[in-house]
Amino acid sequence: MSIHTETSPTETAPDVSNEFVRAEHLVKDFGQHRAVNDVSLSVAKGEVIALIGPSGAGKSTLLRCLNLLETPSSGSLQIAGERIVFEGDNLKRPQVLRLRRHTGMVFQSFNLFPHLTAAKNVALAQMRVLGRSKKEAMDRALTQLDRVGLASKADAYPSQCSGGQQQRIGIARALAMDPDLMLFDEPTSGLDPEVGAEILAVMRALAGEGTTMIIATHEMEFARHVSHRVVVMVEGAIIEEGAPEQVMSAPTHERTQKFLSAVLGR
Amino acid sequence: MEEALGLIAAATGITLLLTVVSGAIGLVLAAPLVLLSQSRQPVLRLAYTTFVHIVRGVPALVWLFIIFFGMAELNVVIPAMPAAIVALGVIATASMAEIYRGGLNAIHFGQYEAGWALSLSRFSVTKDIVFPQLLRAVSPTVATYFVGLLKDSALASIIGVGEITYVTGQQVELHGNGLTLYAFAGVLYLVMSIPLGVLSRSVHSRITRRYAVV
Repeated sequence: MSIHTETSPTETAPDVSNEFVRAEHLVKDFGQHRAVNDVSLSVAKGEVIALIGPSGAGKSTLLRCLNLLETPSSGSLQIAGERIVFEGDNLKRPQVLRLRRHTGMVFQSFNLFPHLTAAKNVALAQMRVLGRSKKEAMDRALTQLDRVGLASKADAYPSQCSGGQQQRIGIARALAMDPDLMLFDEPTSGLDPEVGAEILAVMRALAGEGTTMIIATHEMEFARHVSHRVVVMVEGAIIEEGAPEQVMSAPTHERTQKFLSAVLGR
Repeated sequence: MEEALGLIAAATGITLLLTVVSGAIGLVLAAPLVLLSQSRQPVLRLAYTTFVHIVRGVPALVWLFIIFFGMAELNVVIPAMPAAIVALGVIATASMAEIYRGGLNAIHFGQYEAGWALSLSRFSVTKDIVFPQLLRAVSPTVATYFVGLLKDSALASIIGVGEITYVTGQQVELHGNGLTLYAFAGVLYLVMSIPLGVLSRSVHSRITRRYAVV
């Protein structure tokens, strides 16, 4: 079972010249409130980025801008060669769908479809979006469920699964679409620490397999050991980024120091 | 007496017809109506709220009188059965729309977002994610509404629709035996409503078992 893979991704650092995601000067305003403030971020293929920062810092909103669940107010975004410049209401639906196709998202609250079994949760979009046959979609669903250690739950409904199992089904559902970029929005925040560890093990394995990931998280140990780069957001802006050891052990920004000492209790 | 019972039983068809047709009108027309309540345009939402409040705020009996007697005054003569179907159908439309709206509100916004994040089209999100959950959420309430509608159909007797209550009244006028004949009418309503109630409860328990924790 792949969740037991113990490769540390930091040993196989991605080629950072291989830029894959490029966000430039992204801004997202909600009325008077600026949730994302001039964020520029490049991600290389295979890179694992931990997005940390206090609650309300705009981590979620940034992730949601990256798959266009939120339309950025201005700035530009390029994923796998598809580029969109945001100016007013210029966004066309086909552009949104093309860019979104490259991403997969895992939600804090799982958001599984309660009326579908685990396997059908994973199969639905494969059939509707990728045009896979029902048989192929279900086969692949089983493969993905097996990958997160839940092949035995294929016929279970979400309500019959624990929180940790539901989140793993959520991961399998996103993976089944063969995304180039996985976005995790605090995937363990709604779970007991012990259960959260199951999820982190799955994510660690994905990182080891070279999956490009951006993870908004409060799991500092995970950020330190699994990510290639830690990005610190405060009040909508990126205030610091760098190698995990550097950011976590010797943060340069005062606000980062304050945040880390609060979460690490030191 | 036997003849009276036979005539009353024969009126069951009219009661069912009135209930089923006006209920079906409500089931169907409530779908486009409830979309107004979900609109981004405040004017459309206001139109929805206004319509629903006016229709549901006036007693069904008063609507029957307005459509049957009121329209006749304007030289628009609508026969009793169509008038009853229109009145009960319009009220059912407003009520069903409110039931649908409650069901839609019960669907967590994360369900839509999960669909969109998977690149599903709006159509697919509606058809594959929202609609099945809505159907399961509203079916017990819709069944309960149908039981209520079945009983409300008796109101149509007042404008002379030959359904169970009307025919029973006629027979009592002719033969007396009010207690027996009205009790018989009551039993007929029960015979029709009990299966609906049982069906609704079994659907409901199946749903709650499946969606115990959502």
